[in-house]
Amino acid sequence: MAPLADDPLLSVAASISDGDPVDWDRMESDHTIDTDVLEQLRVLDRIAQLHASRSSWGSLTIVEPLGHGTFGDVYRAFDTDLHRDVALKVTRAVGPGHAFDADRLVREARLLARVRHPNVVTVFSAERKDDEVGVSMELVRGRTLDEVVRANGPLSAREVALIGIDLCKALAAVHAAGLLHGDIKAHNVMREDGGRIVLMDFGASRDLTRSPNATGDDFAGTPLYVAPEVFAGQPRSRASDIYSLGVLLYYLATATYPVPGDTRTAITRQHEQQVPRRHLRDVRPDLPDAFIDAVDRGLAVDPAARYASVGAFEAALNGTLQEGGRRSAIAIGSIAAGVVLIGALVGSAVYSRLSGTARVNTNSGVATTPAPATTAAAPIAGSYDVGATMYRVDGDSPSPLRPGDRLNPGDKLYLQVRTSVAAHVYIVNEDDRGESYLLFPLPNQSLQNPLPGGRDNRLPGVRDGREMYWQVTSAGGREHFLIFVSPEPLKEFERTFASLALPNTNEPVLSARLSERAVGVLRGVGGLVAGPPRAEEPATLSARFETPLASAPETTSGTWVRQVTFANP
Amino acid sequence: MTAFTLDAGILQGGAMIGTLSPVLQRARSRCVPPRRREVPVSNDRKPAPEAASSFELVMRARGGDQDALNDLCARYLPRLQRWAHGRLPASARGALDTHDLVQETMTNVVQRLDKFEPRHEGAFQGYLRQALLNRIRDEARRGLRRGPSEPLATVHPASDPSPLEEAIGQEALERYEAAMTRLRPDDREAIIARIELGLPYPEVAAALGKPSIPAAHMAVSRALVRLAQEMSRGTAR
Repeated sequence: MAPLADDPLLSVAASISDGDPVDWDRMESDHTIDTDVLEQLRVLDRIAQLHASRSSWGSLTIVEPLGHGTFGDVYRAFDTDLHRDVALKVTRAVGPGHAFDADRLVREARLLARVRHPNVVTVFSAERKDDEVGVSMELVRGRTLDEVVRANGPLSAREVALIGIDLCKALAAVHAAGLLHGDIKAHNVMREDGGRIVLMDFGASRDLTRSPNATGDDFAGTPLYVAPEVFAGQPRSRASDIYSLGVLLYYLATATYPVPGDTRTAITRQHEQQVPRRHLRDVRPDLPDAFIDAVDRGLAVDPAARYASVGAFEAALNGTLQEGGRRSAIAIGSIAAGVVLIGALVGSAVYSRLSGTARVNTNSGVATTPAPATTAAAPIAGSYDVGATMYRVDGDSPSPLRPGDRLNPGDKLYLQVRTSVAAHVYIVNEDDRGESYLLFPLPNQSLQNPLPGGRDNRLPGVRDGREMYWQVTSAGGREHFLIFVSPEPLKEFERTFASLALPNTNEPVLSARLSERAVGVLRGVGGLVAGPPRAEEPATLSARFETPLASAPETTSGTWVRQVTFANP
Repeated sequence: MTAFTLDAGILQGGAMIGTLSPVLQRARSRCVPPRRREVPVSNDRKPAPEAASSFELVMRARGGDQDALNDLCARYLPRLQRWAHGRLPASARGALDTHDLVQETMTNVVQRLDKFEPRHEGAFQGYLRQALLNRIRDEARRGLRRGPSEPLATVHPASDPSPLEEAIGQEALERYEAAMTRLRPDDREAIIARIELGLPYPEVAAALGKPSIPAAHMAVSRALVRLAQEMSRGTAR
């Protein structure tokens, strides 16, 4: 755009509008210019620059930054061609000496784009522009496993094994495509809000089809996770990916590392001096032997002593879940049975959907039919205690709700849950019209699954330092709360829950509107019924539905399910 | 679920009831990706025809045309989300997804279009921008209130700065916003289109109803100078 030279202020403004640099020193020395206005133009230049910060990449419109690193940035972007949100990772050359091989990055992103697996992030496109490479991929909303461990502490052996199995499947797909991941670590695995485990960030990956025997320094990845032979100068391999996965599983179970250290040098020294690693059993003596053995083999110093493939690793982890009998069959059977029972109770849409997903799972080869109610109560892998109480907050003082209590519009509610082991809690609400809502877990809350065991957890929890509540109006009819507690994630449930609507947040209707609405919508003050199943319920149903939300903790196993009903008088 | 909402304890105890985000539900049901592919804006020196059609989209959406509304959503949502990201304090960004906030606001604006007589697309952008700014200020005010009985503290209460505020300071940002309100609508719309939304010049020309790209360029430059003069008057007060 041609400068508007006749008026210096206008010329400066034109440069600002065009995004061109302005020689402010020269302008400030020009005594014919109004310095106050020039000063404000400088502020406007800053505002313009802020608004003009990277706004697009090809057909992607940048929406907001998600993360920032030395070698690049990650953005949330909108694909204007396909009309969907994506994640865009832009990697750049940071200067001489940094091995930035744009062609390699693009090539490997294209290879990765061929990997189609639910546990591997889906790559949509890769493009080089000057000294930057942009890779767009699916936007995964959730938390990294590192965030999960930092928030909740170590996970149970069962949950670690289940995550490990998913990651073995993911890695098998990656290896089958001729790629190494190269940087498996807790930061690079997401647990999506719906529960899916997703292997992310292939920034250190290598194409085995082009360079099966890399020479020279092939060191990449995070030192805590890097295999001993790579420290010794050997190239990365599938076996080194397996070692990294072993470190990740160790970390998930302990929140520490087998070969700890703050620097690459310190970790290298430990590997060189063959300092014995911290054995899993020493850190978590409570873990089952089979689990410890399975992870230990992945962590063998000698690559030949590790699993021959991630498939073998997966089989070993699966074996740890079979301890004590038909773990999978009984667990899924119990879920299905519980769902069927509840479905029979309330005949609701969400329960039917849950029942459907459980059946899909049983048809996948684990069990052929839902187990009967009596089987549902059978022990799965040890018992645990559950205590749950619904509270109403009146002013600052909470009081537990009891059957028959009356609720008023505006009442704030929370659920206090205490389990003896770390557990996954899901709360679904449904009204008489069959509309279903997920009340827990919710995005952006500090409290996420799994909830730590041995302490009182207040749901839905804290957001931005403020305690959150569910709030009630009595809109007539019935409202059902369904509370699920399980020591392990109920993945099929989570997939169903992921499609449910969420309660609105911070969209209050002012009290002035309450009376208006009350006239047309509210049918009076609601009541709380947390009682036993209805009288017509067959006597053969599981006893655990007879006293929902018992006053004292209950000992249970498998999936604990309770229904609480809010009903108008 | 008609009966539950999440309450962060930000209003008087028991003083609010909630609905399950009917606005958001409407937004989700109304703002669906258009079936037609958008044509990229060209960089030649004439306003691109598809950019010129934005005003037509506004008018058609105003008349209840669902496809036009969808096209408008697709065209504006990413830009407005980016705009909103710079304006939202971190606390408000956490409490409410930027995407949802923008989508709700945009749907509300479109629903009120029957009360709005835009002269050209730039007026619609200005209208959208003001609605979004109001909404963000509401969110910031809510974010400041800590307890159920704590009164509203200030008019501009952001307890933590937005990215924009962090970059230029609260005083400069307030001076900017105050000067923007004193600008003539045409100048304000030029600033919004080019400086805030970052539209390419062909779209700026279409939005402002200018006959050519040089005319749009001149309009933005003059608007910037007038804005700086207004801000300068603001400092003198």
